Amino acid sequence: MRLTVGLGALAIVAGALLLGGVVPAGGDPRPSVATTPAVSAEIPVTPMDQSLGAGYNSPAVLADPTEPRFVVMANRLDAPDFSCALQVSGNAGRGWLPADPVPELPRGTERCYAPEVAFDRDGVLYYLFVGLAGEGNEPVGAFLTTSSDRARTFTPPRRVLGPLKFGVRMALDPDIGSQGRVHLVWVDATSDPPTGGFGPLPNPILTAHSDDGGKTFSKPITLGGGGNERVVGPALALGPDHAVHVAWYDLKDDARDYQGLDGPVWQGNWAIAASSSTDGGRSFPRPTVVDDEIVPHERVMLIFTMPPPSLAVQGKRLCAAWTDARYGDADAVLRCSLDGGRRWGGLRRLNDDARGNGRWQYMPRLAVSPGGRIDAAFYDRRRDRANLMADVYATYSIDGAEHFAPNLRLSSESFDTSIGQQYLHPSSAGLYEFGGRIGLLSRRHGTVVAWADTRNSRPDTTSQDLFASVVRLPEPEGGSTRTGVVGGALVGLGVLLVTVAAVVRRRRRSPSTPDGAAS
Amino acid sequence: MVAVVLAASSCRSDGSPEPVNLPPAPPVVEITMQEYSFKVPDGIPAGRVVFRLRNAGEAHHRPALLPLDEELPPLDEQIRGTERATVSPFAGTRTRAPGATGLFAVDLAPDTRYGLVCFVRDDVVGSHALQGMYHEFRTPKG
Repeated sequence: MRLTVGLGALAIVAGALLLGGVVPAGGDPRPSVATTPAVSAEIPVTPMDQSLGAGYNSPAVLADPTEPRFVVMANRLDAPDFSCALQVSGNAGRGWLPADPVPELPRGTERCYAPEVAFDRDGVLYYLFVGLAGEGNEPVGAFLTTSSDRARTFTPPRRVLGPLKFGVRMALDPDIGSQGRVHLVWVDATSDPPTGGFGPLPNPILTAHSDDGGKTFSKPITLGGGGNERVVGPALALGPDHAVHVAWYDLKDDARDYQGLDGPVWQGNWAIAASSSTDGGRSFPRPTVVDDEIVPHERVMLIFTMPPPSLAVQGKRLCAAWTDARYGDADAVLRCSLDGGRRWGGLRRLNDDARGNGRWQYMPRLAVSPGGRIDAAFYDRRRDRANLMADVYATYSIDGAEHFAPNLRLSSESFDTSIGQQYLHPSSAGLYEFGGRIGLLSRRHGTVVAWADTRNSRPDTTSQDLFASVVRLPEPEGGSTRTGVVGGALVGLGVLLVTVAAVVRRRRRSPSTPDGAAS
Repeated sequence: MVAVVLAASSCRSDGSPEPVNLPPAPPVVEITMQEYSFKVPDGIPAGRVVFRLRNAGEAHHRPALLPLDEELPPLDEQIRGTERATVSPFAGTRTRAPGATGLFAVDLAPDTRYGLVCFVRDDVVGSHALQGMYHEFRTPKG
């Protein structure tokens, strides 16, 4: 009898775990079948030290494909000096510890800045950073280091790009070759830029890729800005079938922001252009225009670190998000293409507050879950009439960006956006550095969002901390989530049937065995 | 039997054993603030620590964490005495209303003295620190 109870309990427990989604379906840790969003309490990611005034911002969050509980967060620091950092989590983003990806700077560099992260299919972590040197913090190269032991140790950094590369982004296609294909995109300054802005044109956006872990790279391809276009802020995203999508700003006639000159907010329009490779980055078609009526909401504080648009790929659907003031104040807006970036659909706001209320939403970040949910997160000042205190909000779509859910407030406490590093350039007057992106990791049944936060910072400092929140979200119906749950249910049922059969067989073989004697 | 199931579920999909070198989560130190004291657990470790401070009182409180040099007299003497050294807080939260919680992370050095002090001075009792709202602790040796 004990045997029967034991196996029955096994079957029931296994079935319950599978039906409840506790056994990972698709690799995510402890997914649950959420039907309503649930925001967890925020977690401080970076350590406070008010004596330093450390300004952590611009997080990028990524999970190890071989171990989804291992999540990394790369970020830059803008105070007290330019720097870079890496945080690691062994519990899917619910707790964070520091790592040291660059214990020794490469010769000729004085600072590490603007890190990017990627994983290959074996869980090797790639950490790319720009080396800075001199009083003007000139970029002297982009460097790549890797870790095969979950960020405990790193290889010596290898230079992968030369000097005067700005806005370097990295992504890794794990399914090409033995090591995956590392893609890079950057702004290539053709002359030493004067302080605060780019020099004479052209300063094009280039891309290249590596199939040997970053040892060698393909000949760079010019994507945009080969003529007289003022192109900045490249964004990079990979899609299925080795698609490589790149988008960037074209500031058009706005030489004021491009060169970092003095003056008010640019009254003209900007554009976003995009180009998508369908052959793994070997060739790119002529760029398409995502939007060419973008209205700037403020001066570009520093053109070299201008927040890029955000890209997200869901099959053939490619979405781009950015900040746009065409409705009267800064909004987080989005356009999507259903054909991989050839034609772009209508504009929609991601924030659901009243239009033109004078309160900004900005720096949107997009990501797509394995089940196809499109997530977005952005800074949001809707709760402050003075348009100074910010929160972080999120929304999501389970129908391919046709509709977005009501916005969710993730931060439990608003924070002051006038705390941060300030620069002396004319374009930076009155502005505070808050970084170039929000971190967003979309997973089955939820997302990890990370942002710069000053809730604990003294007003007279440059301190910014990173906070993160884990949000439970529903998955699209009919997607892989449903498949996972149904599969789990079927497996559970299978376990139950096997157990019953085993019990029946056991009873037939030993009819005289006392209850439980064989257990 | 449940343990067997849970253990089985910790295997990877390819059947290989789960890697063990995942970073641990930093400890969370739960602190309760009330009039006029901090309720602090024993044994605050060195290294990365998350402080979660809940105001269970009826007054506002503003906790700050200060490193204390070895030559400084005990925090009690510092606060109640007439000769005070200037010590800058290196972490803390803004003023917390009753029922509110504050969060911050810090990297605590081993074998080091720290002080937790409420910096609120109100019309009712004046300095909360002078009312006894402070706590000194030492992290263990590395």
